[in-house]
Amino acid sequence: MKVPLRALWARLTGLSITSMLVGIVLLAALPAMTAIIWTGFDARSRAEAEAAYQLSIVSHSLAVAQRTITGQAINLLHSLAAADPVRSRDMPAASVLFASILRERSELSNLFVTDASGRVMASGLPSFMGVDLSDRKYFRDVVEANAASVGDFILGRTTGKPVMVFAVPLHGADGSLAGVLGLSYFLDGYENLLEGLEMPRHARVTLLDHSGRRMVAYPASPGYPLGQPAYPPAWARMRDSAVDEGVFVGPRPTGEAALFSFIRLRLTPDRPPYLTIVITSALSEAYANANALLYRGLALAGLATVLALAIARLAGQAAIGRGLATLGAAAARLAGGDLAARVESSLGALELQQLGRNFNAMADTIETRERQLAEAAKALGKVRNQLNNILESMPSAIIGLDAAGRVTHINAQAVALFGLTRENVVGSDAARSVPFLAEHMPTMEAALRERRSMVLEGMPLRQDGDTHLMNMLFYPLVANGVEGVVIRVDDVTERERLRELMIQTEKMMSVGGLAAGMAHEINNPLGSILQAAQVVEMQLDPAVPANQAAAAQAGVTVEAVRAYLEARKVLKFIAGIREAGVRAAGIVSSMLEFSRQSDSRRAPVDARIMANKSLALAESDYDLKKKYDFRHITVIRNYPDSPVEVVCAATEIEQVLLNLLKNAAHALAVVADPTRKPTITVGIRAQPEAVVITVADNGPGMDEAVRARIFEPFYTTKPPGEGTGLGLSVSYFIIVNNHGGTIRMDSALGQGAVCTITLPRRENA
Amino acid sequence: MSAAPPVVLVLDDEELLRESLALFLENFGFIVFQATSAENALALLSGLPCQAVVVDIRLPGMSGLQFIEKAHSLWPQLKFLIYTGSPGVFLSPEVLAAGVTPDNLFTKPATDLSHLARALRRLLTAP
Repeated sequence: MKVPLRALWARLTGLSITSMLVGIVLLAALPAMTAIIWTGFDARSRAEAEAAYQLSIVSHSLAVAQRTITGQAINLLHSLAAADPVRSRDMPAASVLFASILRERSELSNLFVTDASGRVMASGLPSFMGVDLSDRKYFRDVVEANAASVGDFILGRTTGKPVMVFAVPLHGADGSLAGVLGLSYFLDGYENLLEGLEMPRHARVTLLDHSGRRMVAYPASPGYPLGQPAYPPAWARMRDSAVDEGVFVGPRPTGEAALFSFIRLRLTPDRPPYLTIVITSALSEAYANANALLYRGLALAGLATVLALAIARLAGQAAIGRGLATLGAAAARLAGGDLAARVESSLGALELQQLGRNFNAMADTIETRERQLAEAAKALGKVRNQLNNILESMPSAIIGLDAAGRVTHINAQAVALFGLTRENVVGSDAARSVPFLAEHMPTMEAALRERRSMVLEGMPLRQDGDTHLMNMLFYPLVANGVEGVVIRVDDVTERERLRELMIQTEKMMSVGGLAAGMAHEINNPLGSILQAAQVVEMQLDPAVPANQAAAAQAGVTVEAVRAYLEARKVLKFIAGIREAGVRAAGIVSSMLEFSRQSDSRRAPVDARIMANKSLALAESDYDLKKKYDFRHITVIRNYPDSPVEVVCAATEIEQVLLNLLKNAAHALAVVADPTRKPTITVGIRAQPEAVVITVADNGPGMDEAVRARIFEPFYTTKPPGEGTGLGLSVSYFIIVNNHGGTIRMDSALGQGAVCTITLPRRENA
Repeated sequence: MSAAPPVVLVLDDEELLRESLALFLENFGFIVFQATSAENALALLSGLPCQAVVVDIRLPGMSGLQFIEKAHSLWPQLKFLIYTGSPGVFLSPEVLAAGVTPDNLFTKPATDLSHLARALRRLLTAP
């Protein structure tokens, strides 16, 4: 039950506004209609009551009139009964009297007297004489009741007109019934009476005799013939009514419903009714007024409803419909993406205006949101670009990985460093696409697991035959639920080299400072040793005259003393002292190089000439000749054809190059491989701002431990006594400190060694 | 050697050095006097016909360079040869004015004193 109601409600509330408005108007009109109809029915019932009242008044009036007629008739009969001709039974005289009365009273049809058997003895109308009236109701009633009576509907025997007969008994001297005195009364006199009576329109008056036959029907109508029984249903109700008067609604012979008002008349209450007065009025007539009112009311209400509908439609259109349509159109435009869609303020009803304002506010908000969104997207794009730019312009190689180890981002440096293509790498498994990362995946996983950054330093990466050192930072991404790792890879080879050099430089500086402080203190005693030794040798020289003189004084010869000293090897030891002193002096003097500011003149020189001078010196070097003959070494000169000028202290650079050549020669001497021809390559390259000189040998090379310390003072791989360990460190000082250049040794075991000197072309120190 | 042997003064506070050098120069044909300090040298020079002085720089009291300035101002003809254990001697304009050139600057230890002796002789024969 509930569901259909709800469905109905849903259907009703789901109708269009126009339909709803029609419904609302109709609903509003309904009470008015009900009131009008109720008023109509009320008016009808009041009209019915009014009609009934009027009918009963008429019927009462008629009843009074009838009683008066009856009373007068009975009184007249009693007066005539007491009149002389009748009392004396002088019938001819009575007939004369009656005739004279009839002449006076035209409404009377006849006056007559019968004997006890009902034979007319005297009559106002001569033709009535001798007629037997014993079958008449009034005669029988008088005989039976011995009192006055009224007859039924009859047509006058002489006149043929409907008459009503009143009769009273005549008594003999002994009181017994002697006859009947009667009076017949023309019923058409009633019409005059009724015409004078004020009656409701459409009312119909009918007089019925005791058996229900029509005695009078006014107004006359063929449908209501006189003398005929009344319409049985109506008659039955009047006849059977418990009381003598009443009002009811019943059918007329024509079938239409009518209002009946009746009064039954009796001569005495204990005797049956002799006459029934009936006033009828068709209900339609009684209701006519009320119905007219009702119809007019209904018509007016209908008209009002139609008008209301029209107004509702127009007003609804003006107040709601147009506004809604405008709003709907604007909403559709908004939904279609036209964010500028707005409605004007004159939408109609207040609520619609509010709705319109709200719509506009909403559209504003959406437009603002959209704009903000667009701006945010733009800002986001900008930030993304910036981030990308930052990532791309960073010197570090950056690789982003997700938690599964797939590459999400790789910057240009990383692409270049690992020799990859971005398209192949992004989205792929990092361990597979970037082989260098494969061995470091555990670190990446650890960083992700422990949520802290991890650093790996100096990871070797082989690249074009060189080993580069990489510092790696694994930074876990754990913010915003994004899991992954950013790996930063920095090539620290150069930095490490620089760091090495700085350490080197610092070492040299401290050695230089120490040497400067020591030099004087050592040089003086060294001077004493050397000078003393030299003088001792000189004092033993036979060629010096003073020696001969001194020897003679002592009783010996210089020669004898020398022979003795020779035999005891004293002279050899003195020579040894001098030699050791000279070597020590060399060391001190080399050490002094560390602290000495270059005081040699700087001048533009051709690097090729410097290199050639050094090569010439190396070839003629006495020490070299002793062990490593330079002539067995192939020397390749990789020089440009044109002069390569560089501003420097030529003697210092030549010393450096000589050192390098000596070292190379020493290295080559170690090689016993007969298949390899010992070769030294001297290369000179001109760069815009610098000159690069390389000295390379194809000797045994050196391992990293040696290479790292190669420029350290006193570091040497030669047997004790064969090298001071100062050559390369002095070279380093000359190049780096005195000329602002760089010197680098590159080597690996079995790979030979290359020393690279870079000298700035212009003096800048 | 036909001419009179040149007279030189060796100024050094270290005895062994001073004496060995003096002995060596005597053997080389010089007449050699010795001074142990700059002050001592100045005193000796006023009474000796020295033509040149071999000067050590680091000395007690007045330094060798100060001595050269002073001596040059007193005896403008006097020649000087520096023989020092100090590396990186800075030759001031005054010292240069006294005729000291880098050729006459020797650092200790001298591996062969004959170089010094020859330089001294050249210095004295120079115009």
